[in-house]
Amino acid sequence: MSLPKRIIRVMPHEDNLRYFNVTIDGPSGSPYEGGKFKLELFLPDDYPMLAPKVRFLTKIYHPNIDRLGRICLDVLKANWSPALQVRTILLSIQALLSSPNPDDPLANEVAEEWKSNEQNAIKTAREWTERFAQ
Amino acid sequence: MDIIAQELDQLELETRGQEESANRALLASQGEPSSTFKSENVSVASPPNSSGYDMTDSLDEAPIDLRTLVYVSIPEHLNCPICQLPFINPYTTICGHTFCRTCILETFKSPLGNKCPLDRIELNYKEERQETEEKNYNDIFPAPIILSNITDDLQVRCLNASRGCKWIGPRWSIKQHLVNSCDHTRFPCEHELDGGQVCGKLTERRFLGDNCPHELFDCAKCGEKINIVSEEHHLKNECTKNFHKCNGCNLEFPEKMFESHESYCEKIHVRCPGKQYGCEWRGSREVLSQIHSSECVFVKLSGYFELQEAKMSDLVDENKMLKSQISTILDSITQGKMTNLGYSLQLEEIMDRDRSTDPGRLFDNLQDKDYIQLMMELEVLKTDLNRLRSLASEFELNKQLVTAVANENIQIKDELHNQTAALSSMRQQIQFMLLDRRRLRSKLIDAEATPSPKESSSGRFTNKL
Ligand SMILES: [Zn+2]
Ligand SMILES: [Zn+2]
Ligand SMILES: [Zn+2]
Ligand SMILES: [Zn+2]
Ligand SMILES: [Zn+2]
Ligand SMILES: [Zn+2]
Ligand SMILES: [Zn+2]
Repeated sequence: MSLPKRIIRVMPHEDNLRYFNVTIDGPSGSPYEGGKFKLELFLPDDYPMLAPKVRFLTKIYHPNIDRLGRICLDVLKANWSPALQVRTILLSIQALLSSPNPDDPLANEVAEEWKSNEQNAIKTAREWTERFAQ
Repeated sequence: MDIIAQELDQLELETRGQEESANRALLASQGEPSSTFKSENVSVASPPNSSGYDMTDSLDEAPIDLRTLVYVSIPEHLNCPICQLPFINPYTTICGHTFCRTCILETFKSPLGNKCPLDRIELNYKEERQETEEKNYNDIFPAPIILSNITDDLQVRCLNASRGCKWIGPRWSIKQHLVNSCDHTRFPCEHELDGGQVCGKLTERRFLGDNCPHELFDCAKCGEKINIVSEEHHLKNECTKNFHKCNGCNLEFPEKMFESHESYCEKIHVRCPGKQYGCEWRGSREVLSQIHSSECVFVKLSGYFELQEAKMSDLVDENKMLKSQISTILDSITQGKMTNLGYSLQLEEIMDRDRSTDPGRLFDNLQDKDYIQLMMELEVLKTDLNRLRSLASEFELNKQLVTAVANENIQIKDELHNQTAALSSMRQQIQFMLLDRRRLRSKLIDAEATPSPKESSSGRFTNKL
């Protein structure tokens, strides 16, 4: 087997140490494979009591990520725990790319498309990955 | 599955390092504003690296924020799952998880509420109890003391490390070090100024003395006004006349420019080939080839050095090989195994040759295992011998029996012989008696001249014998 790839990179921002630039590689086997997705991650003053704020900066076609890059993920909202860490969150986000959940959507049109014509939706996701996430 | 696990590990390393450094930077930046503010009041600029421990009121120790400590190494399982740092005042929950006291109590105030952050089990805890009976929370209680002891023994760096303190010690002793002995802890200067006011400037312990360390004097080199506290910083970073000679170009530069010159000088000048043996010379290529290389002691000695180095590396290699052999031998001794130590000859061959040259040396090559095997064989032979011995004695017994039987046989034969002899003598006697009787009868018949019927029956008797 090939060597494990670097799949998530985290760089603290120079001006603000609570602000991180994150790059996630699209998981293999998903329509996001081959893409490099940029995210911003911000640790609020109350972190780890409050969840970090994460947002996609790269355009992505995904039922749980809206046009502004906001992510619908339970551990980022109601199910946050102070024992969770930045890396757990980022891994959850990467897992979300592997298994989209159109039944709990944030981007409604995308979710509709995903439910009515999954093949087409996956095709679009792949196209977006090629166009925006390189 | 393995690949996934590996990837997770990889990621873990990458992100954790970042997070930690960020945490540390965060903490460091929080401490800074107050100290930079204070340094603005000082007329003579003090060293900028002033973050560290200050005792602003020498009667009362300033609290030490253990969260800002830098650990020499952190065993992973001693980290609080919330703050990711070694436990400070650890408390354990009824579900068996441990956190710093402040971390778990802060969690109770967070959106998660009174739940364990790890398994989200509901934890009973009432704030009122805290004041009355600290140790009797319903569902959280102080962790076993040994955990506190272990975390308190972790090695930490001095909080004044950025001011130059090199101290490293157990966490429990950091306070003692900072308050009582660290030379870099700052105290307010208590000297009275000319106007009768107290100086009050925060000063590292090493500068405190009989005189106010803030009294200005002229720099011996440039004449600028400095004081004891700022002297070191001035000479290194500000003084325009504190010269330092460059080994490369032989020119002098103020200390504050020296570092940048040195890196520049390194680029345009070559270093002496004797550099690896300690020559500091640096200069232009022509000077090196025309002058320096003919007078440099290190270059002249380089042949010798190289020879020594080669010998040394040979010895290192040999040493390494011997080490590995010794460890193999030790292994084989402890495991009772004899293995071929990389000689080209097989073990049996070596032993054969030894036997042919000197049989006594055979035993040098015998090891415990062989000895044990021989002992076992000897044991087997012994039992065999015993069995043979008993067989032999049995045989002996049989032999005796046979002789006895033979002797008896001879006796019986003799007896039989005697009997036969007795029998034949009896037959002779009987015949003799019969003859005698026939003679008597013929005499009787001759006398009576009438034969009796009894004669025929006795004649019949005679025939029968
Ligand atoms: Zn728990
Ligand atoms: Zn903690
Ligand atoms: Zn110190
Ligand atoms: Zn003073
Ligand atoms: Zn000077
Ligand atoms: Zn130079
Ligand atoms: Zn030289």
